[in-house]
Amino acid sequence: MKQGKQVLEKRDTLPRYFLRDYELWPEEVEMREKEKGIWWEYTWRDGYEKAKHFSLGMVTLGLEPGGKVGLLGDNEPEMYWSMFGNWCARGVNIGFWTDSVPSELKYIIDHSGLKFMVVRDQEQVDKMLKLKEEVSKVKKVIWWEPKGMAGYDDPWLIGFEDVVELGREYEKEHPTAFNENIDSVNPEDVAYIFYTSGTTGLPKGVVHSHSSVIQTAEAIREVYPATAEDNAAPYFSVASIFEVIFGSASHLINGIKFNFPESPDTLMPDLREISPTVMFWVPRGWENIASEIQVKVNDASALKRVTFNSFLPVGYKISALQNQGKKPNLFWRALRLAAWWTAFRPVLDKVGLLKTRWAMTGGYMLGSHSFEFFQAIGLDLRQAYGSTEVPFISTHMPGTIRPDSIGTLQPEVDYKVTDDGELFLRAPYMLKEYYNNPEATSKAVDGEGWFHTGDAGYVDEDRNVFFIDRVSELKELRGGKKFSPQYIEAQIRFGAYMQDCMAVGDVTKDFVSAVINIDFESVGKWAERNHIPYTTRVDLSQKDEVGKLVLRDIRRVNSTLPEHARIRRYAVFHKEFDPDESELTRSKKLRRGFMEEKYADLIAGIYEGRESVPVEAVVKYRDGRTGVVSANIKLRSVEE
Amino acid sequence: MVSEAKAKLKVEDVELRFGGVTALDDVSVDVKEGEILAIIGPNGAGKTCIINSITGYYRPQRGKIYYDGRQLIGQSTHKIIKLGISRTYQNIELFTGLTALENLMASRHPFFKSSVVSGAIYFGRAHREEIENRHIVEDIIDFLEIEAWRKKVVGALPYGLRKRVELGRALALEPNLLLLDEPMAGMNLEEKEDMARFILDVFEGQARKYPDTPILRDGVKTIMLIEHDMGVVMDIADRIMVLDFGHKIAEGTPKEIKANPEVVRAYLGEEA
Repeated sequence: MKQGKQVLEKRDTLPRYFLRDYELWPEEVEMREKEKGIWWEYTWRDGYEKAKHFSLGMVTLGLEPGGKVGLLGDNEPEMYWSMFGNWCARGVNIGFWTDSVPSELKYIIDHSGLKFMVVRDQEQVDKMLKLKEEVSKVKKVIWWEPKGMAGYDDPWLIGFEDVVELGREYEKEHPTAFNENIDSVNPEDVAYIFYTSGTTGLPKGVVHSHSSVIQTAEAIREVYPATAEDNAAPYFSVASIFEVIFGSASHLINGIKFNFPESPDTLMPDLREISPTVMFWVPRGWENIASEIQVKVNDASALKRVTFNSFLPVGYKISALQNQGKKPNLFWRALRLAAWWTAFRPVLDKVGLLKTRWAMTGGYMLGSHSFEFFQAIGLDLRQAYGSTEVPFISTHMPGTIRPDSIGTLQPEVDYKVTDDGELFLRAPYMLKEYYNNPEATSKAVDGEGWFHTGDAGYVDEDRNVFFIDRVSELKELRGGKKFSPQYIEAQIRFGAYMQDCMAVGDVTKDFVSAVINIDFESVGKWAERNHIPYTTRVDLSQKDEVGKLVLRDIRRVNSTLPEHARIRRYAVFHKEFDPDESELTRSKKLRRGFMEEKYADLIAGIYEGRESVPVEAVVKYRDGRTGVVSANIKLRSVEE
Repeated sequence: MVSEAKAKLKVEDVELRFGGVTALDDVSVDVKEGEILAIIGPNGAGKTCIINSITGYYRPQRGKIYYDGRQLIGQSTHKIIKLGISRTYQNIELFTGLTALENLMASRHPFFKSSVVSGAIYFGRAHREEIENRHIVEDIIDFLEIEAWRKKVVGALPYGLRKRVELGRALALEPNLLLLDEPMAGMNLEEKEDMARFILDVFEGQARKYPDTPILRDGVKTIMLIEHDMGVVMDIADRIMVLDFGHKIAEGTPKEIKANPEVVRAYLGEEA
């Protein structure tokens, strides 16, 4: 029987699913990884052997039931073998963002009390060694990428393969231990702790059980069908629940195959070779693909460019009709067919999305421009909405997509809207608690089991959920009118030359303004094409021509906004917003309060009507050194 | 001279003149097996002249250069390379019209034994050799993390990447002595740190990661490095020699060099 057609038996814990998969498909491909320019395959047997011995090796090293293990590194087979192995040893996984600095690691290590860290490479090992004195409770740091590790002889460190070897020895004496460990895992045992990235305050550890992860993944499968025939490229960090419920859990429960690019730099070309059939990415990933398509179209020959651009409106028209549940007439269908074969199909093929059955975006809001763009070129892209606490809340359903909503509320989820406009939710899959933080737990989940989302939103009679913004992040202008900075920022980011944006405005201000972070790479190319000389990025960002380029995008966004929420003045920022300087969180969300304080002079200048403001920014390098970037930032007005 | 027996490369009283200009004046230096020796000095001090003299580009008027006891002065460049010496260039010398991969494969040329004819038919030994060499080159690509640019034309690559490809090309020749001419010039801090890492990793050898590629497995145990930037050099070199206007003004450990008043004067000018 073909893999995809099998009716799969249910299990109640993730390790039991892992065991089931190995028994079902020992010789089928579990993962593929590109190395030395070639795709290498691992079967479920390969993965089972690795994870089993790693699991037993961890037991040998002293991992106890309920013991916590940190995962830090890019997504590669070893990352998942470790994750599965830990579960099989009754352990709890905690994912970290790969680019975390030592102080961020230390906070989570201390707070969770974890005893083991599994890290990818020398870079991460160095971070851990820097912390060694301060995190004395960590027993071992396990690394899996040997490059550069030749000179390290600290007994605190151990290689992944050495742990596997320990496990192999252990198995000789305890041949039944692995299965016994799996048997003793309970569905209500903690499987994962997700640390929220903390746009406000310190990170909180959101605790999920095996049962909650499994139930979430099963609910997802109802809407986003997945089988062992499917290929995925799990690209998002295992620090996020988004990856675990769509990726790891679906891999174990549905058997979707994992494919790993050769390096982060080769992601886009490798994606084409993977041709994933299911795609779960965060908005920034989709925005990158959208910009990449636009750049490619702009670089293509005149004929191709004209073809694509003249057929694009056809795509928009058809997808709008389909979303309203209407059927396009013969004329539009014929045009659509021509558009598909001459313009959209080749473009989807170029970026590796041609075989994609469904594509979803989640994590935070994707700008409706990007969203409609993908639908127009024929990709079944849907938005799903969840939080770390209630991982799967709503999603777009085929045929009834309202691009302005975040989809239809899941049947499992109850809701209620408070007088303040805050959405309360209750679902069978929810956080168990905030780790070691009963106060936050009782604040977020009340006695009746309602989870307070902190999001302003409403639900209509068709159970479509409308999301406005975080209650705490809606901003009020002088005079009481409200606007959503996040919405404006997402819309700006869609522009081919835009990287990021911070929309500014509050009760002391009469209008909205924006600090814009251009995409230095594509703007640099644009300047080259248009013969605009520049020296540095700072210089480029302050060119009048670049100001005009940005203005085009602002006008585009303004046309979708109500009068009071339009951007009136703007500045082009002289560098990228940077997580190393705490300007963004590790998941690349803007840290608004911090930014407004750090660049208070700039913002004041905008509202005082000044023409330029000198800005000095201290730049922090990852090794702790600092430098100063100074620039004279021009402040410009948007004339209607 | 101290510990003569161990010197892999021995430069003895070399004098190099261009007309009336003396580029190197009685310069002597040893590079021992198992060390990274750095040569530093201000612009025009004669740093590159030393490498050019070793590799046969320049012919010093006086002095001797021994590699494994063999005199190098007077030998032609391609013969010197075959002895196991390879180098990188300050201004990058690659085939700009070829891809990164092709550049590295091209430098494997000395290791191919099949003839032009069998290469054209691409059968038997020629085919086997191509694959064997590709394995080695792919390991080097993996080591230098240039997978994404493997099939990109070198001329279109940014400067920092071209420098990496060039290091790769030097490694593909499987040298026993590596001469690096300003490998970090013109780079930003992050690129410099990466390059320093690569050099140290080559020096250490990466047996666990690349068990099948001798040059990466065993590493290059003798490295001579020319550098303008003092900071990085102090971190990675075992010994440093300082040149100023063709004269050797100091030689010693990074610590000794830092404290040497002559060096400070050469770099910062007379004390203010």
